[in-house]
Amino acid sequence: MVDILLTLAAAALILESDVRRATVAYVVLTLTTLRIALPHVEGTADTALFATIAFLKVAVGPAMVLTLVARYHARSEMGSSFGPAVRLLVAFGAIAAGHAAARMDAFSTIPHAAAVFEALLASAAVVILNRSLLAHALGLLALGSAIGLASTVFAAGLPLGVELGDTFDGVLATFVALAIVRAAIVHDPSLDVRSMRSLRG
Amino acid sequence: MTPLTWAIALPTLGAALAALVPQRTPRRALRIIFAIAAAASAGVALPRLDALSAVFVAVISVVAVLVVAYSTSIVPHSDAPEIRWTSKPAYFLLFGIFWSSMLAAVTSPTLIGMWLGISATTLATAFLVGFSGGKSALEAAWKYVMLCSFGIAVALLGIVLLARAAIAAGVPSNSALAWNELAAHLGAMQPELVRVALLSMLLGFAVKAGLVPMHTWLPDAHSKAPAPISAALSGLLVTCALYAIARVQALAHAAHVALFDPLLGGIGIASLLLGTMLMLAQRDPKRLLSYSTIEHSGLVAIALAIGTPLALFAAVFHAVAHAFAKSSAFLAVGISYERGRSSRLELAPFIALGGLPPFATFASEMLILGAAAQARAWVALIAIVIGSIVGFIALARFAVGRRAEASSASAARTPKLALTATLVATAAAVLCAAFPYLGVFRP
Repeated sequence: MVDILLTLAAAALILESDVRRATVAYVVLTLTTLRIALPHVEGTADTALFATIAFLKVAVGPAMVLTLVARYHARSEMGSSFGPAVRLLVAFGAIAAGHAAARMDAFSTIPHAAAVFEALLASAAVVILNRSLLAHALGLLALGSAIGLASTVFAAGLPLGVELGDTFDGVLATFVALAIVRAAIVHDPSLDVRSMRSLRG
Repeated sequence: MTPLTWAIALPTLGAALAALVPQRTPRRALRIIFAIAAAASAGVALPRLDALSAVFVAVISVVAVLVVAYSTSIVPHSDAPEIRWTSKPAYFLLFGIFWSSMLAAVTSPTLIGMWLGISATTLATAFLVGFSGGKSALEAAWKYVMLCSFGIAVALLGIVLLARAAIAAGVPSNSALAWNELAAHLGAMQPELVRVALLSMLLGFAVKAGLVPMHTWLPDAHSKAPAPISAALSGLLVTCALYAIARVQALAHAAHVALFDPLLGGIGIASLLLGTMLMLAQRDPKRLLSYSTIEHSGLVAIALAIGTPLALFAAVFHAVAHAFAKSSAFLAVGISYERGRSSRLELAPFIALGGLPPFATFASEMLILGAAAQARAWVALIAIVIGSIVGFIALARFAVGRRAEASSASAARTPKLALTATLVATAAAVLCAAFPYLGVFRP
């Protein structure tokens, strides 16, 4: 059930064309990853760390994205580079690739391994398929949740401090990204990544 | 608190405390005093570190002090003062966090500690890259934060997979990411998982090292940042990423991951050749130096991939020599920008980056060539020769052009502290030729 919910959230994240609805998909994806991690939480210290991680991922991160849309009037479109058909194809591809990766010898005995790869691929797809900087920030947040899920699923028993560090890093990276977005609104209110191609690497 | 803890905390603490002082002159003096104190604390901590960490701590401390001194003299300006993070106190505080993060990365006894340190450098320096607040600076900062965050996430995925292999091999979960525990238990870990984990880490840290094909953020970020930050990014941050790759490579060698060195060597050769080719097309000095960073990063990667004791020594030596040479080059170019025309100060660092004597880069490049010949790594040898010649031509052509337009005005017009910092960095690029004779580092 949890795996199906995560698959649906990952697919919605890829398919969604509105930042607010994509943020909801991200929250569902993150809540699902936290639900998978919950049974591994033991003791008061771990519970406190887990609550902090959940607050940062589910409340602070999305709030930062939504604030930018509401307060600074950033466009709430994801700016998809491709039509619905291509995005649907990518969503199916991510799910199929996730299941294929989970069948590799190294991961075949690990529960929820396919969910990890689906979440990783969905977060990468959000960045690749969309042109809005806000979509990229959402992809960054989703990547943090996917890595957090990977540490729970692949290395159960690792101190939660590791995941807390990762979460802080992910949320801080999103904060940095959104601070840059806020400054960039002055130059391009559409926040389209095409307006950021003057340097060309 | 141990001297190492002080060394890590002082750059950030010092910048924060100095920002509280209202008067300009004492504030500037405090910034320099705290920077020197941080470097001195790092110096006291050196004997407690292993050789590789000690070398990198020393280089970071020296270059960071020079950057702080230079920045107090020529303060970078912002085109968008309405953006809060483009204030001067924010600049020094962010640089302090950057410095602390680098020290934490190269001294951590655990893989995750190193990762957190390197990851934190991205967050601090993203604001510094976009410090001017201009459109192109924000574009560079955006590319930097997105590409490096994804790269570093791939490295973290590798770390998680290695932790799984370690826990499955019987390592207690609390110490599953300690260097010594990992090295001791590699033989008992699941080989396929270890291979995937180490290759993920290589690719992840290669993004931070600016290695091809993950290099596209580097020329933009390094050329759009204020000159002293470019010096720290090219001289130190790339060096820290190469440190991480060297540490991961040690695990790969212990685990007999056959694919690691060929992959590292391949991206090293691609970086060296593409970096030098693109240098030929540059008209802006900071972009030229940025592509030169890709070239030298590739050179270090090739030396690491050759993998013999001589090559590993040469890799560390070249990373040190390049850190000083590239820092001095960016600081000199920054002085030119400040004066509004090119300065003769640029000449010596450009010669150093071209790999000519008396600079240490000459000795380190010769050592890498010798190591390639000794290991019969002919493809690497040919690539190094071609890359070095093309890189030298690009630098020489550019330097001759700049010299023709160089001002004859004396260097006295340049703020003294910035001039001193640049000259010290240039002198260090010569003096570190003595590195092999110090005996502090043996692979």
